[in-house]
Amino acid sequence: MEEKEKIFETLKSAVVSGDHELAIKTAKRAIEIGIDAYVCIMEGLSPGMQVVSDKYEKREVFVPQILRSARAMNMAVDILKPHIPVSSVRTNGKIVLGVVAGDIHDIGKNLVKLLCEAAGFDVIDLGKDVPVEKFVETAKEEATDIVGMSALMTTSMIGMPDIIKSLKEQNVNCKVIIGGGPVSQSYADSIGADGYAADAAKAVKLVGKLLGG
Amino acid sequence: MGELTLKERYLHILEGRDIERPSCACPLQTGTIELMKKTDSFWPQAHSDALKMARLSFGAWKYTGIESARVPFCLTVEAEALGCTIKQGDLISQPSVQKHPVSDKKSLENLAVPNPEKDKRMPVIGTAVSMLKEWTDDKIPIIGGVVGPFTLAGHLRGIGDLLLDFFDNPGFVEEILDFSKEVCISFSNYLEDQGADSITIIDPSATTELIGPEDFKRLVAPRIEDIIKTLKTPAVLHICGDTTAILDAMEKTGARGISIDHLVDIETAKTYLKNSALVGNINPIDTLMLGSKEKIESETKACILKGADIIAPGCGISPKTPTENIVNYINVAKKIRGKL
Ligand code: B12
Ligand SMILES: [Zn+2]
Repeated sequence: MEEKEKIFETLKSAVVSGDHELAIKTAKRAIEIGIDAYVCIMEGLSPGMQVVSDKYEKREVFVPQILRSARAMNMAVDILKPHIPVSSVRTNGKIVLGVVAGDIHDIGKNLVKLLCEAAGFDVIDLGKDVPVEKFVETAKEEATDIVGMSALMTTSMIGMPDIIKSLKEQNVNCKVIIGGGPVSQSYADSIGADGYAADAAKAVKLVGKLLGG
Repeated sequence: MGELTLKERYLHILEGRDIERPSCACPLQTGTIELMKKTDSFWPQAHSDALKMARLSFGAWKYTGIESARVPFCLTVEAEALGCTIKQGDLISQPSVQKHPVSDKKSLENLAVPNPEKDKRMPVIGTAVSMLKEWTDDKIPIIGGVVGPFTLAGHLRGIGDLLLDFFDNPGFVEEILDFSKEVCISFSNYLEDQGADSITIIDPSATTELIGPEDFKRLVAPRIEDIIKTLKTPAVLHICGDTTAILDAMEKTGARGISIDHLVDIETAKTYLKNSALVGNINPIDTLMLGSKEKIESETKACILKGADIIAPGCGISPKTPTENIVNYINVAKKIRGKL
């Protein structure tokens, strides 16, 4: 195997096993020998995270393992990011992401953030329990391409249409995507969101599609 | 033998003595906006004012026919007494934990088990329990809710960090859980002393969707068992989500009632539970809050016919639930019960 391939494999398995030390070491090595940092994320780290997501779907691993893998990925991303040429980051676009008001479930949102960042998107994280105005203000100030809203409760998802309405009223020109347990494609359609994704990996694809990439 | 009081029925079912007819008690949160209006006791004040808390809780029995009175309405009483920063919430959102005081061993050592008679809102819940006891003439079960050790540990440490500690610092996880366990023991014993007829331990973060069956059995179940051993009254254990894989372990804790989410199938659950009462499991959102009359009726019927012993929602009642819908399921349950 070529050393490049080996590096991708090691990055992938470091993420799968949640070994952040190995992930960091390998990322550093990749930079040292001049492998494209962006490709490291796309060919090594991201597929690793996908393996973990699939295992979670099948209840083979649980959220602790997801978080550990996410951390390993995040730490490797921190090393790789400065080496990604600015142009490839810029074309990928900007996302304002947050959990809607009344809802403090942020594990899923954090995963979406991680994967989007790994894919080279610029994510502005508003955190959890975010009021309507905060979404709209930030979207405006940052001239964001996409606003992403997460809700894990049927009681909190009912706040989503308010944000979409307010963005329209204030003529903020961006796409809106939603996600989280109780929401669905049909809910997205009914409130006029531009997209829905069932998991973080699909969220990345969705963002890519909406931004024409 | 005369008719059992509602309290006797609830306790008999939990003690496994009278399992013929289901109870319509609700061991989980019962506060709704309509009931807040009827009782003039609104969130967030009703989380910290004993009289308002007791009135809102009593209102559930008075205006809907729920066969119990349950306090409190949130999961933050213990966490607040331990120094977590709490956001009070509003009419529709429960208080939530904002900041977690445990960052390392030292900060854990700095925490002491709160004095339930004095610290923060703990005595408020106790006072509400005694008020309810008096108002109901000891005829309706008064249920005290406490947060389970894993959820409390998550409140203290931050759930994300706690889950990473599983790998980075497993000993620390055990220490936080041991401390949380002591807090649960102290608070639940206090609520019993104030007159609670039964304790509901609710541990939503211990769900299989989060930590998986192995870690539940290893880390959480033994500690819940230790808590239940100290109780004088029968305990109900509620864990959110699909708990099918841990039902046997939940029963082994000594809980007399196992409260299941709507995601768990009652008939399947019955095959795991040997001698505890099954509590549940009407879908609190799609059915109870948003469902049609027919949907509520058919789901309530299904719960009884599949063999639930205490007919209740699968999780806390959502504040936007119409009173009419609650009355509806209670009436259906009582009618069918009358024919058994
Ligand atoms: C962990 C958890 C908690 C933890 C949260 C810790 C944290 N920091 O997040 C704690 C213990 C604090 C908690 C508290 C409560 N919880 Co809770 N909780 C859960 C649980 C078990 C898991 C959620 C989770 O993290 N899943 C794992 C992640 C990886 O998945 P995910 O969030 O779905 O995210 C993925 C996708 O949805 C998608 N996605 C997510 N966001 C976005 C956004 C965009 C833009 C896109 C494109 C995609 C996307 O990608 C993610 C990654 O693949 C769920 C059960 C469940 N089945 O979801 C209940 C659950 C969400 N909780 C519930 C409830 C009721 C509560 C409480 C109200 C409990 C109570 N009675 O007091 C409180 C709420 C307090 C509040 N105001 O928010 C209910 C909600 C019911 C409802 N329908 O409204 C659930 C469904 C449990 C149940 N079955 O009853 N909870
Ligand atoms: Zn629940």
